[in-house]
Amino acid sequence: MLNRILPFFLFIWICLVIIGAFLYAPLAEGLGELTRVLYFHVPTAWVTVLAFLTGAVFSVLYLKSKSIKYDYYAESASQLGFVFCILATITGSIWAKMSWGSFWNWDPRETSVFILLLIYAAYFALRSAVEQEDKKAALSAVYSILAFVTVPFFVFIVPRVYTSLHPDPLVNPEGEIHMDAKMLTVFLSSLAGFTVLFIWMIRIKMNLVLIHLKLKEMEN
Amino acid sequence: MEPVYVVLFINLVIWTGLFVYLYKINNQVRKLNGKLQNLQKK
Repeated sequence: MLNRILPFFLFIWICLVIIGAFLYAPLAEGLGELTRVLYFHVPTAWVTVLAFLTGAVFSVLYLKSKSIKYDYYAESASQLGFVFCILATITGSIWAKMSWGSFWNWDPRETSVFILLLIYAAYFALRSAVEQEDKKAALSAVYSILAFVTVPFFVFIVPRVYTSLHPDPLVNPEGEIHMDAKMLTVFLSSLAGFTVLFIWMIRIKMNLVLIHLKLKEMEN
Repeated sequence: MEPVYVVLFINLVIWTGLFVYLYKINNQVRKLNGKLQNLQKK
């Protein structure tokens, strides 16, 4: 029952976030209309990290249990992470065009996201290159864990080490968030909404994996 | 109509489309899962 109602709550929740981003939250000083991108760009970037982390966790579970379903789960999580990473890149590019005058500037933040996309594109290339299922799963699991090690480096460390045009992170070095209360409400609601959206999407993909495995089992 | 309302409307349409798509897939997956479970029982 809860499974049937929850999607509708999510639908209303994200509708409210969208309306809040456009009509409720005030515009930040110096950013103007660009402020609204924040409520979609940061949550997509957050879900990217969350999805790649989920992929790495499933990979560890595969290596521990050798259960093939975890390999498929890891692939599903990485696919979602890749899609959200592209969305974060697109929303970031829109921001860059409006703020810096160009969609792409090879800024450290943009370069690090581009490398991250290449790393995960290589993960999918690796999966399609190996035919033997056990070998593919083992290689992909190890690669996925190694790929995730680079995520904090490219997402959090590189943009902070090099001078970047990208705005300062929301949580400053003192660990405080300097944001208007209304903006913070919409922002946190958006983060929560996108996180639940990711959980819903990964659950659909996981159910599809189980159906695929059941069909394979029945064929055999 | 002010541009902000136009963009708001476009955002809502995109989200509604995505939601309907996901909801349909979710229902199809649930039905397929039920059918498979029945087949396995038989």
